[in-house]
Amino acid sequence: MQLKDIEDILKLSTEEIDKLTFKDLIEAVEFIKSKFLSSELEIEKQIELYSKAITLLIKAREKLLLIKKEKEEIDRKYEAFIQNIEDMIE
Amino acid sequence: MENIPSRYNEPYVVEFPTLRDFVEYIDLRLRETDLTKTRFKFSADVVKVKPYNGSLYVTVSQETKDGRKTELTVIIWKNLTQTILRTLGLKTPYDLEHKKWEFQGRLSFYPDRSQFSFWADSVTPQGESDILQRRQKIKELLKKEGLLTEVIHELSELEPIKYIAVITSKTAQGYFDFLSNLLVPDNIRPVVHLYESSMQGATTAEEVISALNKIELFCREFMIKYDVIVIIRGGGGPSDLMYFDDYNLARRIAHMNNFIPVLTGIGHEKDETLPDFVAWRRFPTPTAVAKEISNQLKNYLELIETSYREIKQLTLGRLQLVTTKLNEGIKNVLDEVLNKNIIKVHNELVKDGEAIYKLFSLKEYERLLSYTFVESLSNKIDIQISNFDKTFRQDQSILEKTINVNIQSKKQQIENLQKLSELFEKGYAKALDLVEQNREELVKTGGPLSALAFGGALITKSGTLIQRKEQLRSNDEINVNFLDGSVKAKIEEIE
Repeated sequence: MQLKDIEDILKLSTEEIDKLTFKDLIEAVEFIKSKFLSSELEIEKQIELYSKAITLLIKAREKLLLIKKEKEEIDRKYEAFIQNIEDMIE
Repeated sequence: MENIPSRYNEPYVVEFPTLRDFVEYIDLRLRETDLTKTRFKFSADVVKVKPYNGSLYVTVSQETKDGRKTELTVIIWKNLTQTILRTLGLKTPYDLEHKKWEFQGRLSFYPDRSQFSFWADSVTPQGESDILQRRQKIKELLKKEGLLTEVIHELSELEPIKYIAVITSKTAQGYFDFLSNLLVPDNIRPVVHLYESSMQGATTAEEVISALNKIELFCREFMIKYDVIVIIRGGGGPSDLMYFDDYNLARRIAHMNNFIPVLTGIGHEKDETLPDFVAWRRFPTPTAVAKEISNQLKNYLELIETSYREIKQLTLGRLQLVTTKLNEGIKNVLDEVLNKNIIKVHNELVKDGEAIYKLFSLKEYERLLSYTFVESLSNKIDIQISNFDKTFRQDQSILEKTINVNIQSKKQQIENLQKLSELFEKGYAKALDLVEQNREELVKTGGPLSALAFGGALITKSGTLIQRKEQLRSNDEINVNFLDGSVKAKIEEIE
């Protein structure tokens, strides 16, 4: 997903942010960062973008972290799957 | 065990009641050691090959420098025969004869025949050139099919690696190396699922393909996707890795990349196998794979933290700048903005002026404002002014006349009023004189009535004027008449 417009980024809803990949999120943050370096950005807009960037970074961090419950669930499925295969071989 | 006599433990003489007992004892003692569990590797010339029930019985021989000859029967199990022959590029089993080969496998003891045999699961040519030649051949085939990985991918192209499927042997050193080098904080430590496979011998390719199939089945069944598949194996010589050079395995890996990227870390740094050429990314060792995955995760974590710091710093910096500007004086800021706007407006005006000039030239302007037009306009204005003046004068005259008439009328009314006033004054004076005259006459001629003229009162009883007290009796009702009216009274007592 290409996010190369400030207004598009600001318009992103929570659901839309959830759907973004880690790479998309980081790209959007990098884009915001590049805009921050431009002196043309109004201070009000910058504060608005700052808030959005923090939301995007939190989501990116969530995508990086492994939740214990999630890990236990996939481990359980894996063990059941392997056991099933072993049973079939026997 | 029960049949073994107790005196077996005696150090020097071990006696067996039957030959069978003795052979079984040997078998038992062998099992207590790791002799039948250890993998062995040796090179020898193949003297004779005898196929039997699909398996191959290969007689190998080797002669030492002092002329002593040693022979051993190497058995290749029927399930491996075809794979080994195909891998070696041999058309028939007899092509093994009269050549030197390297064999790998395990030792086995047959109590029935009191014989050792060697079960080989890997037969490889002697010398690297043959192995390389064969690998090259398959590689060219894969290239024709467009299955070789032409670009060097980086793990930074992938999403964070949270789920890893590892294909290797559970007991392999490479697996241990991989796990011990996944050095990341616990909260980002990926899930690792092992899909076991033999990583040596003729069954290698077949088992790795089977593991890949299991991974795909698991993912599709549970709607879960591993972020990467890692195929790892520790070090070994070229002959150890030869069975990775399998066309079917290479194809399977190449196609698997479309579903989940496959990473390889097979052998040592210098080793290369066909899976390395088709993998999404090849690493020299299992340790290298683990380190690169760790780096990806750590870099992503660092990227998030750095981005946060930078964005915060940039925003605070900008806020500080604005605050400073405000503190220095709003006027400066306004001036700046105003100047910018003035310049902007000036530029716009110049632009607009130029545009108008182009549209509306001076000549055109002159043509429109011709002399005739001006003269006609002037005449019209004169007529209008003249008409206005005339109307104004007429109105003025009428107004003047009306005012004069009104003034005369008012003057007449004032004079009349003055005359009336004089008449009234004369009449009033005359009336006063008459009143005075009458009063005097009343005094002179009035008798009792004159008392009224001087503030007195007249007393009457039943219409008769009372002039003396003798005319009255007690309880008589009388009228007391004043100038302005009368009151009734009752006589109480006469003195």
